[in-house]
This record gives sequence, structure tokens and C-alpha cells, in this order.
Amino acid sequence: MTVSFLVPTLDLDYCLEQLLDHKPPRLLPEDTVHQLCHLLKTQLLSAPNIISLATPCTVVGDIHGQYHDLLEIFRIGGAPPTTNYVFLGDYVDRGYYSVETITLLVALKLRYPSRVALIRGNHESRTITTNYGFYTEVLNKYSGSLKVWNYFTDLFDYLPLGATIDGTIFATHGGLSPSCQKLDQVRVIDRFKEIPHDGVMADLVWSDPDPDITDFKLSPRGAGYLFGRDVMDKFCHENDLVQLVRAHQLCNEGFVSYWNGKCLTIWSAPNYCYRCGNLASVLEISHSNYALKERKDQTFLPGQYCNVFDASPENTEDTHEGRSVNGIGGATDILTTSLYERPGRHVEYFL
Amino acid sequence: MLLPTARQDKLVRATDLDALSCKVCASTKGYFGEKDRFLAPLVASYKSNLQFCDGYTALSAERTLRAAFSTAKFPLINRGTFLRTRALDMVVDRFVLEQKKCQVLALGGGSDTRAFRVLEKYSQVKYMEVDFPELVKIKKLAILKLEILQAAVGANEGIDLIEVTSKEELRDMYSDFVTERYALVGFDLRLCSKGDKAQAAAAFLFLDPSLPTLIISECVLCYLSPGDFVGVLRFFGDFLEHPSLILFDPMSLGDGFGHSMVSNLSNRGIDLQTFQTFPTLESRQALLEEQLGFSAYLTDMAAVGGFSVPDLNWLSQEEVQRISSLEMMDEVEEITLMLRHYSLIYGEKNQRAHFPEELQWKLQPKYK
Repeated sequence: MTVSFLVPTLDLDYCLEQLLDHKPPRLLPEDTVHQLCHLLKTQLLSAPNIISLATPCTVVGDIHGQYHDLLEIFRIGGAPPTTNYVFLGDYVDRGYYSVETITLLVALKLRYPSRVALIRGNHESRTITTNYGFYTEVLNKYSGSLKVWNYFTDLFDYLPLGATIDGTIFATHGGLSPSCQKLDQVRVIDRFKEIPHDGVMADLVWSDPDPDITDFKLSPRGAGYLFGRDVMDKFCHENDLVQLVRAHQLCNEGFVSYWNGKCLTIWSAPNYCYRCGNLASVLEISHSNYALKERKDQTFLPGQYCNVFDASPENTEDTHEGRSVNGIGGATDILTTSLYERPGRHVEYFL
Repeated sequence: MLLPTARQDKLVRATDLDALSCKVCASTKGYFGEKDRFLAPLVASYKSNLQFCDGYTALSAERTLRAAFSTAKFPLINRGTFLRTRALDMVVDRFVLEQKKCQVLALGGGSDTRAFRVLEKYSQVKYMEVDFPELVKIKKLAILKLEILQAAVGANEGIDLIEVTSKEELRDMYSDFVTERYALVGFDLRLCSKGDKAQAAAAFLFLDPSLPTLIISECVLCYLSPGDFVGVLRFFGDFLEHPSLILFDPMSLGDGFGHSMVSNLSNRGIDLQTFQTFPTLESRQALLEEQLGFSAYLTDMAAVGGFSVPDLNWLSQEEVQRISSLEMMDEVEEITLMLRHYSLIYGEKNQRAHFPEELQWKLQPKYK
């Protein structure tokens, strides 16, 4: 596939300015998105399935299109490049700003490649995004064109599946797999495809820890597994790890810690779907130097601070009935808006 | 422009369209097994007649309808719509089967199709629906237009079709529609609580107060003030000799979700006045048993759907499997949280039905 690049070449700072300095954020044109995705795919071709990161870094969980809460994360945790970030996936679907969210993250990754790491979540998938909002959002924001959805979902195939932090903490979106005892087994997978229905790649993005079991159990989600304490212990032992940090599950307090901090869930979408009323968090890991003697009753490991936060007040501006999101080229004449007006976004309940 | 109270009423009426759109989506996806064939005529009636309703223009009606029916709902909404319909259907079915002769009164029946389904299935039941006159008219126009609806409600042959072509015609149209087994009456429920009790009773002449009567409120009483909520239930508790209730209403549980729901809905202009006044199942039980003299069985929709405590599940294994295969639900946390906030309550007075003992409840009656 060849993509012809127009002169002048892509200006990443201009892209970031369009997204960050305007309220509401300005969408990037389709061709720009195409160039961004192409550039990042080229970079990610050479990235391993499990990338190696070092502290200090901040781990971010599910964002789900909650753009204003992503900006809130940068406010409380520091913005790239001053803070190193690793994002654990689920950038799109459910929130009303999936397009802006993923565009911003891709632009930031390209602008600060060694400061931003993007891991794949179960929502970085064609089938899931078709049903959970991203597809529809692209259709609405790009006036019926799906090119941007295609560019991004193609890009998702290139995202790594996990990261190690200081070689001792493993970070992935979901959790563990009964088909995978060693990290090297993940390293040899061909990841450059749609997430399969089963197998190691599926399990990594779909599984959940369960404090009430010791082994593996089928997951109520219909994909991945539930894994228990013994599985966690064995995996850490076999791979010289002290901890698994993951996301994927809604947490009322923003985080959940199992097995004395051995398995942490970090959830970064506050008031999820503008409805759940939950807190969110990001995990700031400053170092991993500590004696490995296990302390009882620890929620986090030494050197880790869980920064808990609430929904950004800007969100309430955008769920008002009738306030629609900016489209490209902004058709503002009455005729077009009355013919093509997008339905006002409502938070859904049973009424 | 509408006055504030009229606007509030318009928004409450609009929740009927919301509920209809949810049911249409769930039906299309196959949640109800065979598609509910009574839904299409009601959708058609809305499409023709919403523009003549109070507070709508042709353009705004078109926009509202497009918004309601164009986007598919998320899987958790479809699942929840299926559960609310199924749970209430289960209670109605079991109630009717236990009785030789009985009545069902649907408060705020709106565009709901339960009346048609129940009358088609059972011969020993008479069914009455009340709602705002405007919504009743939309339903009546649907019935007059389509034979399958007329057959379901046992209408006589050769009734005249009415076509409405203006707001005046809709306003002046007689709202009520009565057959031997079915009554559709336009009536503001608040009059049961506030107005002349004798006048209110006159609206319910179709009912025989001596027969066992099941009153259904599916997200209806929740729009009333606490005073009216209690007043309406007290009215029926006095007026009927053997009243039973099945109530489906949201409750706040005092948590983050509850607060978000209050603020999101008030942004839409919808005020659920009893949402926080009776925030838990316990408070609702106290209201029904201590204040109103009913024996109450209570649960929430998360339990009914098998999302929280497994033993309180109302669905069979086969059913769970069937609906799970329709749409993938990528997570369970959100739907569990949401459904925990919807109460399902069966109450009875001067009546000892057997079927509640066969269903699973979180709270059993304190007084029987």
C-alpha cells in the first residue's frame, strides 16, 4: 500500500494544537488521520509484542472516549513529555469523543515516541467498535464516511499486547491465559491481525482476576478467562515478576487490588458512560527498588502511588440535550442542520 | 411554548416513546423470540400522529422520531428491556392463571403491547389501560387502523377508522375506547390522589371492584410526587377489594450511580421525585406494608437477571443461553450496577396468591 504524501509534510504540533487548544476539540481531516496512522503503523512494525519500559512512568487504564477526562489525567498526572505514560487500551467506544481521544493519543505517541506507550485493549477491534459506539461516532463526525474508522482499526492491529516495567511488573489490558505460562510465548505470536475469538492474544485482552478462585474458570464475558491466586503466583514466579497491572474492569473507587497488590486493576474513566458515578485512577510508579519480602495488607507496592480522581466538570457541558459536537467544515446553516441534525446525545436509562 | 408544568408532562409522555423505541430494538434483535407484531402499528401511529400532539411541530416530531428509532441501542439496554418486559409478563401470566376471573389495570400503559398479548392468550381476564389522553389517542388510532389489534381486544366488526390531520382534530377526538374485555381510557392519574375521589372512581367503571385485580406500573408511578405516589396506591387499595400490584421503578440506592442518574435526567427535564425519597427496597417495603397495608415481595432487576445473587435469578438456563447468544455483552459490571437500581415489587391486599412463593425475591413480606 502506498500513500502519497503531500508537501508540506505532517505537522504534529499543529495537529495537537487543533485537538488541545479548541473547545470543542477540532477533528483532523481524513487525510491527516490517514497519514498519522500510516506513520505510527510503520513505527509499530518494529515494536515487539511486549515492550520494555522503565520507571518512572504512569499507567493509565480504560478511557473509552471520555476525552475531557483524558485531559484531566494530563492535568493531574502531568502531560507528555514531562510524564512518561503507558496506556493499557480501550481508548474508544461508549464515550462521546472516541475519535478525538484516539487521534490525540496517536498524535502524542508520534510526537513523543519514547514518552508514550499504547497497548491494545479488547475494544481495539473491528467487531467490538462496530457495536459499541466508535463506528457510529466516526459515521456521524465524518459525515457518513468510514475511512477514519478503517484507518484506526487497521492501526489497532499493530498495537503491542503488553509491557514490562523495569522487567519486573507486567502490564496488559485484561489478564492471564491458560495457554500461556511464559512471557516468551506472547513474544512469538503474530499480533498483526484482528483479535481472535480465543487463544493467548484473546485472553490477554479479555481475562479478569477473581479473588474467589485459585485456578482458571470460563469468563462471564464470553471471551477470556477468570484467573485465580495460584495462577497469578505461578505466572509471577515463572517470569520473575512481582506484579500484574491491568485495566478492563469498571472499579467504583477507581482501582482494585488483589492478593496484596500482586494484581492491580486501574480504571481511568470516571463516571463511566456518564452514568456509573464511579471514581477513576492512574498509577504513578516512581521506582521498583524494594526488598521483595511480601508485606501483608499492602494495596500497592512501594514506589507506587494511585492517583484517584473524579469526572472533569467539562463533561456536564456536553451531555446537555441539543448540544452537538463539532463536525468537520461545520455545516451551520439551518437547512443542513434540520435535515442532517444528529440526534441530541442522551445518557440512556429505562424510562 | 409550553408552560413549565405542561413541559414537564410533555417530557413524561415522551418517556413512552423512549420505552417504545427500546422495545422495538429489542424485538428486532430477537430478544422476545418471535417478533412482537403489535409494535409496528404503534410505531406507525406515532409516526403519523406525534406532530399533532401538544408541544410538537411537524419538524420537531420528525426529529424526535428519527432520534428514537434510528440508532440501535447498546446491548445492555436491549438486555434490560428484555428483562423488564419478561419479568412483568411472568407475573401477569402467573397471576391470571391462578384466577378464574380477574382484571388487569395497566397504569400509564402508553404504547405498551401487553394488553394485546394478554387478551389474546387468556379468556378469563379483562384488561384496562389508563394514560394521558394524548397517548391514549395515539394507541386508539392504531387500534382503529389495524385489524389484528381489533381482533386482539375483541372489537366489534365495522368500527369506523379515524384519521387525524390536525392538532385541533387530535385535541377534539374522543380518547376512550371500550370493548367487552378491554378499556382504554384517557385519564390523569394524579386525580386519584388529589381530586374528587368519586369522580376518579367514575373513570374506572369498567372494573368490577370485587374481582381480583392486578395493577401494573412499569416506570409510571416514579414520575409522580411522593404524595401522589402514595395517594394513587391508597386510592386503588381502597377502591378495589382484592388489589395486587406489580411495580417497576428506579431507586437511587444513595450511590454515585444514583447521583449521576438524578443529574442526567434533570438535564433532560425529567424529575424522578420518588427516586431519592424511597431509595432502597427496604424503604419501599416499609411504604407498602406499613403505610398502605399491602404485603410486599421485593427484588431488583440485577437479581432477576442473574447478575448478582445467582439463586434469585428468574430466567431458566435455556433462556439465559438464548439471549446471551443474541448479542455479546462485553462486560457485566455496568449492567449489574444499572439493574440493581431498578426495583421490582409485587404487593397484595386481601389476597393470598400462590405464585409469589414460586418466584425468587430479595425481601419477603413482613406481614402476610
